Amino acid sequence: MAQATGVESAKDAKVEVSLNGTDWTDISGAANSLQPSGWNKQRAETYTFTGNNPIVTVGKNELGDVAVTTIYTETDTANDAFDLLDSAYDAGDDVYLRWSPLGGGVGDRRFATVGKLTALNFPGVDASTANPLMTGFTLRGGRPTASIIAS
Amino acid sequence: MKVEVLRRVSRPDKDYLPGETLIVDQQTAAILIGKGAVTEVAEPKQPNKPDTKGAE
Repeated sequence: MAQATGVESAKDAKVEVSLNGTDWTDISGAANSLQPSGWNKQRAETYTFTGNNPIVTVGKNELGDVAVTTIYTETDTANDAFDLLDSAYDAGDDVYLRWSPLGGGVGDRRFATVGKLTALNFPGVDASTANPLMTGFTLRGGRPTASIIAS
Repeated sequence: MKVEVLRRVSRPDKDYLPGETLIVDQQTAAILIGKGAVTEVAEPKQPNKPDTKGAE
């Protein structure tokens, strides 16, 4: 089999958040990592007297999490997810999140989900490192939709 | 250019689902067709005028 082509890193990924699903804020200048997980299907299994392996059945999709790590700043509030999402976290409002692994240009794929914030992290402090202050959030929502960006 | 959506396509106004049609410029259409996201919709030909010769 021929080796895969078109493989790229996530160095140009684009991450956006919205509080209404219409007006998006590009937080790519502050986001450091994004890790989706979950959305497994409900599953069950049972055994019969014949055969050695179980019979497996599946049900609905479970919820999943998207954990986003961002830098912490108190001056660039437009890019600060902590400030952007603080009120939504407190109110339990819906938060929309979408990300494009290759950058969000025309023809790139984009994943989008909506859910509730289950975590909005406080910046930890450590005098023994020179690491930038970081914060982040976790959104728990439905299985993301995948689309191709047309404009 | 009019295209038919094959795989969900995202535009600022909405997401277009398979089977829907939308208008995009030629450059965008070429990219989307290359990605297998849309296919070009052939413009319908002008219907022929009814042949009235010999009707009488």
